[in-house]
Amino acid sequence: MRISIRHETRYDYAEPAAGVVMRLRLRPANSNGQSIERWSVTVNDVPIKRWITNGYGDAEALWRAPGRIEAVTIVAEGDVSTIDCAGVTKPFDGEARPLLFLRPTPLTEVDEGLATLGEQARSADGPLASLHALKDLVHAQVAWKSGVTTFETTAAEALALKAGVCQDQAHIFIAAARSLGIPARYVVGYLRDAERPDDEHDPHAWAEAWLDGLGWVGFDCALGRCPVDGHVRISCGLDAADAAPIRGVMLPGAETTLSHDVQIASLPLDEATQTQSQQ
Amino acid sequence: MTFSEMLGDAGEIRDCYAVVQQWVDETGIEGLHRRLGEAEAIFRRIGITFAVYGEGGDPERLIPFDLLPRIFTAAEWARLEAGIRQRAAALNAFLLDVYHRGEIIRAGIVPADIVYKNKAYKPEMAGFTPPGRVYSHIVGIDIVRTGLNDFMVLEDNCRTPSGVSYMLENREIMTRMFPELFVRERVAPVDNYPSQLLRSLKEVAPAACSGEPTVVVLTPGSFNSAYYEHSYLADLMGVELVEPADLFVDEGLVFMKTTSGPKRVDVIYRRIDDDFIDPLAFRPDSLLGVPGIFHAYRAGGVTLCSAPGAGIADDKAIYVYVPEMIRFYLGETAILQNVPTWQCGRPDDYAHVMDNLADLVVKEVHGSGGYGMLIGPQSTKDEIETYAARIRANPAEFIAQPTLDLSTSPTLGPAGLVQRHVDFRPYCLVGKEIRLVPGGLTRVALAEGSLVVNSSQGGGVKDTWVLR
Amino acid sequence: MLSRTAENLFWMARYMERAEATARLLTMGQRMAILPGATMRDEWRSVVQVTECEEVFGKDAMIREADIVEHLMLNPDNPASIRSCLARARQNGKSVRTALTQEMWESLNEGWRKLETYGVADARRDFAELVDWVKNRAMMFRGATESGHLRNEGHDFLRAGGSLERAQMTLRLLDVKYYVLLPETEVVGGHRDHYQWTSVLHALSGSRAYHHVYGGSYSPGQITDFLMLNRQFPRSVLYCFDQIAYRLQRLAHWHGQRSPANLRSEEMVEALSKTDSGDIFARGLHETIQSKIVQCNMLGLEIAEAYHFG
Repeated sequence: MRISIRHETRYDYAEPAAGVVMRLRLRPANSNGQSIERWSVTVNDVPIKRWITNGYGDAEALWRAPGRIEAVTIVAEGDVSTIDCAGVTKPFDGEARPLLFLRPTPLTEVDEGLATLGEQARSADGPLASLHALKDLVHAQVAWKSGVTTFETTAAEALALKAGVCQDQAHIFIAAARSLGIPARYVVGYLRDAERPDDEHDPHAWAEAWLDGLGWVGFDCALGRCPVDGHVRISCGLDAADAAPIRGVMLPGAETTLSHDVQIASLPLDEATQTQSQQ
Repeated sequence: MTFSEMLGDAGEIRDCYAVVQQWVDETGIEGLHRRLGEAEAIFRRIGITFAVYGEGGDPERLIPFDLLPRIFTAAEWARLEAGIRQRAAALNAFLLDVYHRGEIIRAGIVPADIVYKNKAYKPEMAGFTPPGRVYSHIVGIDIVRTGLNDFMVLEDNCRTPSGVSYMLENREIMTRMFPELFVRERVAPVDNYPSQLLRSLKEVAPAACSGEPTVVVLTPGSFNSAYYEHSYLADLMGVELVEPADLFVDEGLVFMKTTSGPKRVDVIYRRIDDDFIDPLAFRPDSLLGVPGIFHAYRAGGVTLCSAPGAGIADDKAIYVYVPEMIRFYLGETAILQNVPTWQCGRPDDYAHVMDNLADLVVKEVHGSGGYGMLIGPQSTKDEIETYAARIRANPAEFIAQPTLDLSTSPTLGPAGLVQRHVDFRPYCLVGKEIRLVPGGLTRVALAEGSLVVNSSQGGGVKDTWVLR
Repeated sequence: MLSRTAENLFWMARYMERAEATARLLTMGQRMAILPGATMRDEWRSVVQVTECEEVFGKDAMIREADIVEHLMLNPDNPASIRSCLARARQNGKSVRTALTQEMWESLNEGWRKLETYGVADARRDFAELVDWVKNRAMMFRGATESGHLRNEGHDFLRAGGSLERAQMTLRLLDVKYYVLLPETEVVGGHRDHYQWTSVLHALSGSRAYHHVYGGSYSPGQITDFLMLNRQFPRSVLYCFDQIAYRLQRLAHWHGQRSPANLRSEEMVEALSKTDSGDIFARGLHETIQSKIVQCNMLGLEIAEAYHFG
């Protein structure tokens, strides 16, 4: 599939803010499942050129405001072509060891409920079967519902609520997988899915679990299936906080309002040249 | 029987202490006290003070100084030196490994959990190779002695071991006040430490640096308990002492704010903990840090000394594996032994520890500075029981060691010389090569019978002589 | 040089100067307050006004010597107190320890907590001794700076800061005498007026120097001339302005670049050097002083701007 993405994030400050610095992870990396045809990130219309690879293999850049500013607009856009790899992402050279992703975090601390969920999913057919069972359990038990959780809601809390957004579903999956001794991580990206056009105005999130011999296998509990070719990965981490595509600081002061919009569309497969002028 | 640094088996004065004994005899106890008063006045005036966390009282207390030096013979030092260098090399090799392929974990020598689940392990460092492949540029190794030929490593300090300013100041005071001692005895000098440190720091300049590297010392500020040391080292190296607010990151490089505008910084000897150094990479609520500095580090625009995440190598849970690290990475046998250590997270060890609490020293795995320790033989039944409850609640958080009979060194008491327990911390520098000045900091437990030498717990310091 | 270092040096010198100025002010206040016929309240209130911390005392409260000693000498929460100034100067020094000589640091560090040990009663008893002690601290600091500190840009920041503070303090002292203490019932030039003028001179250690210049007689015009315009008396406003302009020129030289502060400081010198005490009284001493104080404040801001203070 060829996917066109435009992701705009805007910060408005009630009064001009000083010392604004932002860390951006807004550039998909080339991997076995996705390749970048065209990509650009701008902040207040200035292109970001300098990218490095972080400890998880994701691209990372830094932007520093030239002085006091009233607003920051970050636009990431481009075209990515994807192929169906049955949800498997091969690890990058030099990225953190899979065993790291057994580490608990405050958002993914395992409580009794999560441990029980893990045990329910445990399968005699091995870890891959357990993970599929876990994905199905989360999909069935935790309803997709916006407004009931926040970005600070833990996996345990969301499981108790039996509701949440894709972040919560992924956290629950990750915590339960780790309780089974399987490394799991949080992935942020974009989703092009004809059945769920409503989701397409937010970045998407799902989970990946490590299986020796296979690599990182994606599990999208919001959809109840593994990613095929509609998912584009931009960053990953131990949990949502760790994988955040944008992290910023400023000197104490102004109140901040955050807004964002994501637009995703599929592109015709055979008209690559035409898409160049189609923005 | 406790080993006395000054006395041989038969109670005779060891040769290396003859000069000291003679000096004490000539000066007399009263004379020594008078000179001690003078030395303290100098320390106070210079401003060498040490703030103690959580103890209230005078925030700028003077760390007690003992006039009588602690002495190593040339032969003793040769062995210590080899052991220290070996350990510093192995610890850095371990860090390079665990932030890359983790071969020592794959080989089943070090368990994955105590590395990857450890808060001191920073995933942000994964896959990154620091300039010169050095993570810990100053390795402080705490060594105790229990017999004439028995030296043991109590713990490693791979982040930013403090106290080296005392090593330098103690020697400075001694040579200033008692020049005659240094005429009589050939003591190896330590005063080239700052230039060696600067040299080591310059050797790890980042790729982006062309020409002479600009080195700075980064301090949290003048309220930090070790601020004196930060300013002292900056001074002796002739480099700027900067605070986080003096620095900013732009285009993958680090700059300091000067009266004539921004100036590039290449190497940062930072005395701020990992968690607080960059709110964009580590603790987001840190007000101390420099936003983006870690990004600049990974981008090759600046070198941080020590590397974030170097603390995994000095974690108490890792400590027990250091002899095996030495074998694994260097193919050598450890020259300095570890203290036998029981990990309460292991069922067998746990049982042994719980049965023998009254004889053991128990420490928190992530504690430091002598806080939160149980010294069995010096504790009441109630204290032991309270501590046992803590261990039961979370065994993996504790390790235990036998109560070591630390060696004693002659120390000036009110009425004459007394024997007090001491330990020793040398400071090993790692740049393109490993460097070690002949000396270090000897800490002394000033209370009779006490085994706690930490300056935060009533310990004092001594000058340390290595004879040539 | 780090901007923070420059800023700390600049303010360290200011705080030491301010501590000394406050000590001198207390001497002056005490001298005036024991003058026969003094109303107590007015003499001490003038001292409070000059330090710009009237809110600590309350608008109409009767101000006694004990209150003054408590708030201007000992109160750690009043930023104008001697204790605060000494503590801040030391804090500035501690933050830039490497930019100081050993002696400079010692002059800041030694005995800096002395005032902590004093209660109001003890401090009143040892009043003269304490005031002298504070003056000695400041003199020792300046002496250590003078004799040992590298003549680098840091030195110029120190001297510029000290001179700026000193100019402002002389201006305020004059203002107190002329404006605040302007007697309501007595004729200007009367016995008490005369005594107050001499107290100002005395507080600035300028009595003897004044006699060298003007002989034996006191007149408000001559005293004003001396304290505002005399280019040889190191506490006069013009002398201090000369110093500031000189230090800022050196800084411009170090940096190869002039800043708005250079221009302003030179204009301040120029304007004052073309003035005589007659002009000052014609325009109004109080008005003149107020405009100079504002210029000093603006200059402080421009220096901060030019050298990137935090």
